[in-house]
Amino acid sequence: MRTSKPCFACETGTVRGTNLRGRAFDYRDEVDLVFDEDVELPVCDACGEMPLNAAATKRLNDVLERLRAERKRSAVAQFIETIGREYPTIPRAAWEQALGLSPGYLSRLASGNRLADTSLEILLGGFAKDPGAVIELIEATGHMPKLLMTHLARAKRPRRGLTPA
Amino acid sequence: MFNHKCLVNGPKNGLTRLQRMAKTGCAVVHWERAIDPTSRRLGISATEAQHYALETVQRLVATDYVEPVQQRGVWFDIYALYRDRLGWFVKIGEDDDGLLVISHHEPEKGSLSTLPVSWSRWLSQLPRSNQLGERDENVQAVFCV
Repeated sequence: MRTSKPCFACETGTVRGTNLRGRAFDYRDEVDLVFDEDVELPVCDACGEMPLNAAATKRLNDVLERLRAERKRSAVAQFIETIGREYPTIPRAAWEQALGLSPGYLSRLASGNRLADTSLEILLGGFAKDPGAVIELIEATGHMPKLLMTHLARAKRPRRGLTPA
Repeated sequence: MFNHKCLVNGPKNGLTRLQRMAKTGCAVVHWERAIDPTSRRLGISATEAQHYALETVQRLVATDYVEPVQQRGVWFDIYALYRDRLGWFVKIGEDDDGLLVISHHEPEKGSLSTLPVSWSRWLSQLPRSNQLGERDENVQAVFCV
């Protein structure tokens, strides 16, 4: 590929080799995945379009797929950390039942053997920020299993918001 | 039988030639208007989306053709087709790097009119070498009056 060439997308810019580190991508079901490797790819200096051959696409793909997987695993990790901190007496199985997950699924998500789908990722991430809101949501939809209801009653922790400092 | 306007607006690039480049991978596919929208639409990775776009090019037929468009002095051809029950807008051309896939996404501006059925009959009656294939200059001589 030539060093620089005209951009056919915006018809005004020039496509040049550009380091992608720091560029944010909305990729698949994730937003603002910040590129964290030094990878030089052809980029238009006006519109940001990237004309990619197979090798360049694979390079970009490898980084974005890794970032996407890390984002999803992070949501799971934050959820697990939150339930461990806020509701240490409630077994993980109770949460899995409430979320409609098979037993052990949270562990598989945490280990990276599976990736959470978008809606589950949103739910887990929301729980980490405001557990009470998600618990109320589950209650409102009528999906609160008796197991979790019993444990929450025993936990005697504030239902809404995180533990006060 | 064919009006002058239709003849002038025929494909500017040999489809068979572009399809050969798609098959061999001598191709560049744009991220913002092709790979990324395909990846989102189908829920697949970027690499898979690029393969999908190149496969779409290989599946194009003459009757998928819509119109040509010139961008920065280079002619591109617009095609429209259904694939996997989804409508696709495809814009392709060629430069020094081979096949250029500028666009491969959901149609954004309403329906697209492809080559009429009467044209497909006419095209199928042409000698094989003139069917948007190897001897494209003959076809272009007809189209680009």
